[in-house]
Amino acid sequence: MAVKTLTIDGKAISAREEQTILQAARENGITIPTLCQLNGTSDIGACRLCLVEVAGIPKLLPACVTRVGEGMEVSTDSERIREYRKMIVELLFAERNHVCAACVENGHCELQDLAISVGMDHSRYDYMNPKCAVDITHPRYGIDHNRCVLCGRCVRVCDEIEGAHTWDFQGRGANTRTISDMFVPWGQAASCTSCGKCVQACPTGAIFRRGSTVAEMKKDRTRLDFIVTAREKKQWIA
Amino acid sequence: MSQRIVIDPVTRIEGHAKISIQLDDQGQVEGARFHVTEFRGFEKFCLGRPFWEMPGITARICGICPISHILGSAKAGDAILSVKVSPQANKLRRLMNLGQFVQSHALSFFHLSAPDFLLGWDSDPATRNVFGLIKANPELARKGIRLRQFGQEIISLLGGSKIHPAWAVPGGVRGPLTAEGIDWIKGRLPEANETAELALTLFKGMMDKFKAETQIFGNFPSLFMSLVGPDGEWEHHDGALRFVDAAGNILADHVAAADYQTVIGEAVEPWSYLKFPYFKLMGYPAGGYRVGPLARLNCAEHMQTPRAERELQEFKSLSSGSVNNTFLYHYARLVEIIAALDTIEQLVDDPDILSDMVRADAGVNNLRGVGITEAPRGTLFHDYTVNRDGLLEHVNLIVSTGQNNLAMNRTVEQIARHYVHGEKIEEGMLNRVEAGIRCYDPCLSCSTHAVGQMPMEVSLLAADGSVLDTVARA
Amino acid sequence: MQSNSAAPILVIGCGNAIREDDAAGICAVEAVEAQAPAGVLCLTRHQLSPELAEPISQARAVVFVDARADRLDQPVLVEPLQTDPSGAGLGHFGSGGSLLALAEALYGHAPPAWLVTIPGASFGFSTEMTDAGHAGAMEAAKRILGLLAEMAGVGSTEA
Repeated sequence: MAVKTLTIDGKAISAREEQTILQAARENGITIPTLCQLNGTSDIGACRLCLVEVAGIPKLLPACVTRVGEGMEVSTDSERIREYRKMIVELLFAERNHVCAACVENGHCELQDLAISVGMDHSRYDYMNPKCAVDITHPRYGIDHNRCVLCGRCVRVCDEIEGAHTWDFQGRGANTRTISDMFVPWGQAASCTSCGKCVQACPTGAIFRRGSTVAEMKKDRTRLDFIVTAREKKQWIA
Repeated sequence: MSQRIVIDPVTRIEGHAKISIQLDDQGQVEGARFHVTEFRGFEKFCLGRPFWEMPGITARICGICPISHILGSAKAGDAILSVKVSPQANKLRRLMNLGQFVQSHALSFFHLSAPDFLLGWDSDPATRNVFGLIKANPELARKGIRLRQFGQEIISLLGGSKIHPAWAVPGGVRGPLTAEGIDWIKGRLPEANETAELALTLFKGMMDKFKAETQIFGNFPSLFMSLVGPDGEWEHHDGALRFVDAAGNILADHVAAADYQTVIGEAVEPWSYLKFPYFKLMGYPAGGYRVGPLARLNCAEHMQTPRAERELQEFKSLSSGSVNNTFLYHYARLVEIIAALDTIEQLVDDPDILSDMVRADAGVNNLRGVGITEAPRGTLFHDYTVNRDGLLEHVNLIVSTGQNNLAMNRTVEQIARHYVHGEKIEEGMLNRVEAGIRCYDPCLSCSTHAVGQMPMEVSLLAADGSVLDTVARA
Repeated sequence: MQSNSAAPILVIGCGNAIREDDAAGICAVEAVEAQAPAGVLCLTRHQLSPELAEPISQARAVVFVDARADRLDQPVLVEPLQTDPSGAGLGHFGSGGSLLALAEALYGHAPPAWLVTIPGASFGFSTEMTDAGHAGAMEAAKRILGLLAEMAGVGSTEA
């Protein structure tokens, strides 16, 4: 097992060569904000919130999919990065209709927390106000596309942990929609096992327990961690 | 023939309330209209949402009675789920509604209306307000605020400190009261009782003083509607609809929520966006009815506790039939505070309110659900139609101020007949119109509250529709 | 009750969250809350009601934040606010000035107060504010934070 030495924010650390910058940072108590990343599922670098600067490389790199390298000098908190992160969160808010006040996830939402942590007070971008549907055809759960940030956690958790692959994406760019099976209402998606992993994985109020009222939905990510630990380490510990 | 005009901009409500008084060819008052905020905008934007979210959404319509909307919405949701909420949940909902009655009635009485009659209409208008009242009786004003706090604290003990606690949900409520909450309520009850009794004694002692005034303060026969219990007892949350007429005869009884449209029609007028509910059997506008404290006491035959029952019977003895005098809304409000405090006292002794069996779980079993509850100002209807998944396809809300609208018009008209002379709006008449409307304690909170809007604007219109005079209350 | 530096500064935003720019006051105060210094208590209300008089009477200073429907040609305004003892109108709501007067009359003290108003472009039925209303709310938040910093600079001690 080869070990690489590098610095993150000036702190000298060592990491295993197969680790990503994000993993190395976390092991050393350095926080890098993430949104699409979900423990136990593959990293896809989709949300771009974990962008970091690496000395000598002009473009910013996503920490979740960039391997550590010998002598790397990483900074996670420069003015430029902070500005990008804020911009990303603002764009997420502008893209769909996020009405926190009436949302089931209000107060427990990762997007809301991110907005606060990056110091976003408003979006500098015009709100797109797209027409988005609510699908509560499933007997136990619902999905409100107004609140979806297209992080793909549901898609990966369903495919990689549950193994059902009910969720996927349709369309491109701003027209991308999360769909179940071959674009049928969720309640008619034959592959869905109703396991609820996507509900726990969703960072916002987009996927929720049916019947939830305002601010009532609180996702429990430890339930996913339990399954991942059990599968990967054969340890059944909570 | 006089001309009817009054479309824009007189009927448009930018601020809180607009009143237009129409004169005929002889310069006599022909009619008056109190224009209130239209509700269709709210009904529209709920469409497409899951009905489970409605308590949280509709609570935002009103800053004063969010609880009424939450309860009405939750009850409509119960009907869609086709569940009967557990007795425990029902008692908790009732407790919250009673907390709201106390806080709302206390504010209405002590801060908005008491100055009118405690200081007298002929006192200087500049001091005939809550500040004049504080000067004359600072202790009473502080007690009024404490009574309001008592009601509000009950609401927060149940629903949390949020402004719009979506605590009642389709199928029940989100949680019970705590033992500490019960202790707090019990600790403050004696003081609340004392304040309520004080106000009632004060009001009764002054009844003679404003005898003349009350004759022109919207003293007219009308129908009354409210929920009553199965034995005709006072009700604020459960029960079924009853209509009584001015003589006290029961015209319709035991009308279940789901059947409300068999007795209530909603008329549309070209000059207003508002719908005008009326009692169907009598047609429109003869079937106009009043709701709220006065209506509830006129419809109810009994109270559930001895003290409240004594007060109710004393109130009823004021008239051989229904009590028709709008001014006595204030009196009715105080009787209801007493009834609410008595019932709160009973509820906090009931072990059920600590139970956690408070929420029924069910799917969509009905495509339509109607929830009726008594808000402090009167009966509130939430009528939802959903698709099989529970997404809203149609929403009809009937609020108390809308139901009282015809009566408010008559009240303003009656006052205007006495006090409008010539083509100017005199200060004295403006004061009395305000006081007349305050009797109904209309909820104008669903409108906007921006700085620079007029709380009230009164226009005097000539027979040809031209505006003779406009007075705005800043 | 006298003001002292340990008493909080109240920032009270009011408005109807589902009437477009009427929500500007609430929106601004929520933004302030995220960055407010210690000793500042942010409250949002559908409307101003009399029980606020008690906390107001105990505050070191009060900042009322609201949307504005007149003087639309003017930007966000920060004005000192005087007590207004002209009394309540028809409904269950009051102005900042009347609450100050109530605090003084009932509890013996009205702290120094400011009124921050944000011009509203539209008051229709929607949970979304207009871009102009939103920009105004953000501008107001900045001004309020500036005001708070100024107040902190004047004779306050760390609590």
